[in-house]
Amino acid sequence: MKKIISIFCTTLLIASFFFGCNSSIKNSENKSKELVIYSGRKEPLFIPIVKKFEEKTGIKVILHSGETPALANAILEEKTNPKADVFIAGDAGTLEKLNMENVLLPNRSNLIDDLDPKFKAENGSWVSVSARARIIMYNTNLVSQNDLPKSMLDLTDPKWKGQIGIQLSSNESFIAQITAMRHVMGDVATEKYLRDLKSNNPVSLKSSTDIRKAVGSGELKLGMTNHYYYFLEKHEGSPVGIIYPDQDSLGTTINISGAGILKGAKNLENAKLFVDFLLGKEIQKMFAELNYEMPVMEGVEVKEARPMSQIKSIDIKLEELGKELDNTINLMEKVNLP
Amino acid sequence: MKNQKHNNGTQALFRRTWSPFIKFSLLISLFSALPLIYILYQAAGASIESWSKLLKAKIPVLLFNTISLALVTAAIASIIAFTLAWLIIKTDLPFKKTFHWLAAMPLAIPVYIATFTYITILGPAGAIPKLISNILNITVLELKFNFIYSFMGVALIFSFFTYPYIYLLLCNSLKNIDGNLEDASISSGLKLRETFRKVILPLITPSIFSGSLLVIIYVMADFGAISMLRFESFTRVIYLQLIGRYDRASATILSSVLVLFIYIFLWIENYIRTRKTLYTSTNTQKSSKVYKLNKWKIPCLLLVLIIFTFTLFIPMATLIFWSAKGVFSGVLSINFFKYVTDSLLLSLITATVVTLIALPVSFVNTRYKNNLYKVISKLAYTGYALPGIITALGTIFIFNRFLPGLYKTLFCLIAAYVIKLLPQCLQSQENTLLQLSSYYEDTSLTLGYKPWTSLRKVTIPLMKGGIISGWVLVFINVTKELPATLLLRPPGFDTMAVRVWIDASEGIYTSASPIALLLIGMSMLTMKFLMKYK
Repeated sequence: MKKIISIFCTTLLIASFFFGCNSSIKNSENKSKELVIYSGRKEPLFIPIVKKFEEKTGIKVILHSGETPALANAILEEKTNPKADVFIAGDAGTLEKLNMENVLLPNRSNLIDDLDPKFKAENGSWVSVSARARIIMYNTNLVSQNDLPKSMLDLTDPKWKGQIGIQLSSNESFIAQITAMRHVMGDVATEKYLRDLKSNNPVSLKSSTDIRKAVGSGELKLGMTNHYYYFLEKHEGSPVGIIYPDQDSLGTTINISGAGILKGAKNLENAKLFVDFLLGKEIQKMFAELNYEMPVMEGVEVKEARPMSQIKSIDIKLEELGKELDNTINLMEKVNLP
Repeated sequence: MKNQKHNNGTQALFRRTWSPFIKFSLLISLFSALPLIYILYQAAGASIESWSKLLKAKIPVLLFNTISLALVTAAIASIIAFTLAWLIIKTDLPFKKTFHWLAAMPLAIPVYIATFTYITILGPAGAIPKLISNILNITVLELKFNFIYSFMGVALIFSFFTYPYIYLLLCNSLKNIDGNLEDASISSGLKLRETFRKVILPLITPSIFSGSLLVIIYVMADFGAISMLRFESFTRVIYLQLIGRYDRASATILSSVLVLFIYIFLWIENYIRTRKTLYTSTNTQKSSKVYKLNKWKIPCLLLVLIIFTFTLFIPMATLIFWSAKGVFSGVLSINFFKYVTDSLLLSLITATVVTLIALPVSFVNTRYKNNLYKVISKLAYTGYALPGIITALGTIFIFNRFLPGLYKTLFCLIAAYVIKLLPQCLQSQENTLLQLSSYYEDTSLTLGYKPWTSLRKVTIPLMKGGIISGWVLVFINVTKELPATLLLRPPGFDTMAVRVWIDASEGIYTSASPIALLLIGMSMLTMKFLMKYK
């Protein structure tokens, strides 16, 4: 039955021709027209930024979205043959971890020089592009003003049993928060805190979007997450409120989202262009206006969110979040948080 | 003795004639087992500390959760399957043909898609709890409608969409019951209930067990739906280990334990299936009896419709609702067509590659009676027992270790699919080959055909049905596959399944639903084709 074989072969040929075309275009139009981004940010925020970059530069962006730690893992696995040019992470700890593993490329530019040193790696191998605070959001229909928790530590109070949304222990923002708490409270107290939190039966959710929606819809009373999720939920019309925790005591955790260029990036020039682009006024404003984050460049205002200068935060260097990453993960494993 | 000598002779001849085929099959079999072997090797090399930590804290809980969910799901699915199969095959229910179709269709709905529709309808803050709390004038928190995330909720959702595995087998054995046996039993004075217990039940039990074990294995391997339902199962924890931890020891250990248990269930399934042949007689002399429902006709009709409401109407109506909303608000972008064409092209290539690889393997597997070969060739079936997520883990290991240049390319993704889906393709090809005598090839060889020509001109045309249905099976399973694609796809390459997953995770149902509908539509067409073909 020649027919079947020939049909198979033809489909195979045609199909591989299609894919071949794609890849040959990529190659022949050479490095200057393409940029591969691994992004741990949510697509609804990041796609407008990428579109703007494409319009402005004519560079075609291949955006590969996923969870920050998953992409970091992929980058480590692809060490010998990097697939991406730029990595956008939702956490300084993950970026510093990659820096320690020696997969990020030191980088300098005028804009990077202008950035406050506390917001970048010493060698510039990663830079912050926006900042966020850890907060507690609550459903205003379900929690009365006098009842509000004031501290992350209040979440172990049995009155909240089964009514708090938290992230999975693989979430980079959650891990960073625990690293910061270890920094000020020590390992023993932090471990006890995690155990008490766990025995309060929090609901571990897959993503921060799930948390804000669960609080917004009244499925849960409280949620432990990043500040901008409160604003996103509020602007969808949900009855939610925000608590900046521990303002009279320890302070809350401030973390960043940032960018790093990979060693061996195939489109290095475009990658540098993109990192600078993220630090530019226009995009800093987009972070503030589209996603209610805190801009890291001087002179760009927050929108609605509390300015960073007015938030009491735990005094910990961002690098520390990376150096202590594995220890925090081990502690969370020990407590056996989901 | 003489016979055996003769046999040895033909086998030697076979070995000489088909030697390149045999070598190729051995190679493919070994390749298929490579990821699992590498995972076991890594797990064996993990520190005693990580083993004992997991064995003490995580593994017992995970085993209990996963296996109890699988068993309860199988029990519920058996009840649904039996109700439908009995009413549709053994009674005079109207619209039987249509109902038979509808009863098999949930198989075309990937459970992770069905799950997100259920969450938007019956989740704690879904449409129905919202409606009820509005009427009662209370908040959804006070209503506390958490049923969907409870153990029974998860089991029910899984059983709604896996029961067809049992249903299809059950229909077959119910149809094959010899009407004479039933008549004899009734004329010797037994009531219908006793006839059922003493005659019918023993005949259909094997297919219920067989189908239940398929359901059990499905539940143990599922990743997408179980994560959405927040159920602490093996695959969910393995995925978290894979994406969130920087060492692979725990993931390999957990994978090894899960695969071990899947093998145990597979072994039981195999035992029952091979024993089953003792029970059923295929050359029925009188067709299976059909009982009259009389006054029960309307209630039974209602019961069937209620089942279909849960297994088809709710998910489909929800998807259509969200899709309509999405289309009118203009969510369908050019990107939509890119996912669809990328997805289809990938499925097309993979199905063709798997089919071509399977051809020589299935041929040798059915024709070559060498004991050593028989053992090694079983390895080609490894992928059947590997959940997608574990196939991905193994492929990541293998490619990073031996072929780093090809890691995260389409080649690497297709290799994972080959490992995972080759068994399905082999099975359907081998089934047809077993029904063909080797007489035709032998004759063509003695007439002077070269082996290749004989295969091309004689065997392949004869086994066309098996080849096509194998191809279609692989095609549709690539389109639906989630975890391996999620972990191995090249940067910027999204399939329909991946897109549905990402959008549904972010709660953007308006853009997830049109793709989901298209996916289900394709699966349904495929099923229609396969059911007709068989």
